[in-house]
Amino acid sequence: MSEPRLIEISPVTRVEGHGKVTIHLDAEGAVDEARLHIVEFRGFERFIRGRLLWEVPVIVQRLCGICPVSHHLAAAKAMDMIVGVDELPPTAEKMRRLMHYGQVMQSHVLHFFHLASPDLLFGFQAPAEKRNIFEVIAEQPELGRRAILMRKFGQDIIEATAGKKIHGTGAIPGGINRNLPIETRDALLAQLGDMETWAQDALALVRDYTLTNLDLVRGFAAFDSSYLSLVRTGDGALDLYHGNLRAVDAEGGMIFDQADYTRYHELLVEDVRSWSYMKFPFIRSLGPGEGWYRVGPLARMNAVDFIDTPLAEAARQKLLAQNHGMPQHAVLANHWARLIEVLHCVEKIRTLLHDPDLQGTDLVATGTRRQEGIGVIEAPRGNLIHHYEVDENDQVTYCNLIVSTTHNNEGLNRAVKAVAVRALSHQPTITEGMLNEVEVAIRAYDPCLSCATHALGQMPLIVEIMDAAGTVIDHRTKDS
Amino acid sequence: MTLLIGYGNPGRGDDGLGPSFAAWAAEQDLAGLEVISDFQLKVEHAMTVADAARVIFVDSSVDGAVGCDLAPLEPSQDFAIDSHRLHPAALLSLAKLMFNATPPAYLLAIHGTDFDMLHDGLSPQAEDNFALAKDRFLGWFHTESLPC
Repeated sequence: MSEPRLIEISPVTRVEGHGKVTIHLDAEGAVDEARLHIVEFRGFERFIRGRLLWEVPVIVQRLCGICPVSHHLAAAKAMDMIVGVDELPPTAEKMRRLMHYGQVMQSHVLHFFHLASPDLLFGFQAPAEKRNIFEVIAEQPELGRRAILMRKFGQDIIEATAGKKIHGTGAIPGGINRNLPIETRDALLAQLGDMETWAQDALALVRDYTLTNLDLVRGFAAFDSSYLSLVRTGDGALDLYHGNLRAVDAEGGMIFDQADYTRYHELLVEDVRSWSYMKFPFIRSLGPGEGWYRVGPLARMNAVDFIDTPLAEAARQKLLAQNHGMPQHAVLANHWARLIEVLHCVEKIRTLLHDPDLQGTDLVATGTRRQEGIGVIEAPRGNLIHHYEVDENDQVTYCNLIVSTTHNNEGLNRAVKAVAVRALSHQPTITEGMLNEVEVAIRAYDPCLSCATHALGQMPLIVEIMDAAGTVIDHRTKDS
Repeated sequence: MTLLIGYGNPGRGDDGLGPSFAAWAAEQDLAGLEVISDFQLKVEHAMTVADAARVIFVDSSVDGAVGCDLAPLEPSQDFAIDSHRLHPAALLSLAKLMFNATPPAYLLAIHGTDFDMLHDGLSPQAEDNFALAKDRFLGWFHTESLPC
């Protein structure tokens, strides 16, 4: 190996949207640089300008085919602020929370069972033809069946609260447009026993995997970082729907706490780099070098003081015990955290379904109109910020979004490099298994790079290896 | 029951061919036709597929014949499953593996030309192809016999 080489993985498979990984090798074959590029510019913030504030919570769902509810609710919260509503009627808030827990649950289930489980059950270096969900189902058909039924349960909750499984209209500025009929409630309650059992079984599976493979988990793309999350106002509990911002450092010390999220732009800076369309946010008080942070399920486990549902809190304590109660930094522990949140959502759904407020009829509040609104939520992949300004004609004049994957941009890039250095440096040949390790690190963050068209014939996986002169010396393509 | 699943993102121009077609099909009030319109195929669609006597998937296509193409589809495990991508052949394979169901399946691919992000409406070419696809679909629906 005498010439520097460039390895490209484009687009990354099994993540949302389009991305490209480039790994530069030096003349000795060591990894010199590794980057995750976002190659598609969304333009959504421009697209939304001129739209009426009432339609924004519906339109923003086009951002993503897999977590539209998160955008729906974040936009609705921003519009609550614009219509002057600081406190929703109990029925409205609880219906929105139910919608959100259903969404987080079904999103996490999809990620774990269908995207992560092949890697975890068969190993990163297993042959590609073995490392897929079909093989998981062949070996563990009950696992596959449960995954689909848990997905369906989450989708049924979304349909019951948002009106439709796709592009629902449930959350409106100032409230919600429906309550939960008794018969729908009872149909959901009848499934909860299975959901709780299956969530616990899945949690045990990933916990046991982690504990059995501790050296691998601790060494795989693991590095210290700060973490950012909403926490519940007052007591710092996990709250996926609402709260204040908290940032903790790698040892769990507070960087800021209980900060009103409408001040996000005072606390965070959105940096840009020439080689990616995706911004690189950092904590203003720490500066661009030290201020990067991570969000998501593991970040939430690290940032909150506790979880207010008993089964999930007990599971969180076991997770944190792996690092003596300190923040857990292993990226693969995100899978464990994700399953803790599935259990938390099931517990929350049970509590809500027994709450008679869901059958209330006071659905919408009103207030004094404002020009600006900011809505923040903890989406499945992490913190999500929607910020709008509207004019006197109710038309949007300004929009700024910080999605979870943008928060995680620096962490994703560092994870890619960490794995690339370990798996690819000084290797005479680059195997599919090695490249998959890079993708495993990316998938652990569950990134949503963009909501891309999926028309037939598009989105192959292209891997190109180039020498210093830019000549392609190896090329692989996987059709989608 | 005949199941039609039209899928795609209506906010990305001709990628909305599938949902547009599903909306049109639902308005035809065809006996025994159940229509699903979705942003994308999802694993839980395997449950509905498993209950169908025959299935037709409707998607936009960026390659292949100009106009539209209607072809039988077999279950296949050659396609990766991810959050945003689930090939209909892979969905059929899930239905077969998990529910032992193998309904006859077809893919109606309608050629699109404009997939620019974040705009509504079909291109003129896609509108023409949409009209061709209606005839192909109705011919298939009325003449392709249901399995016993």
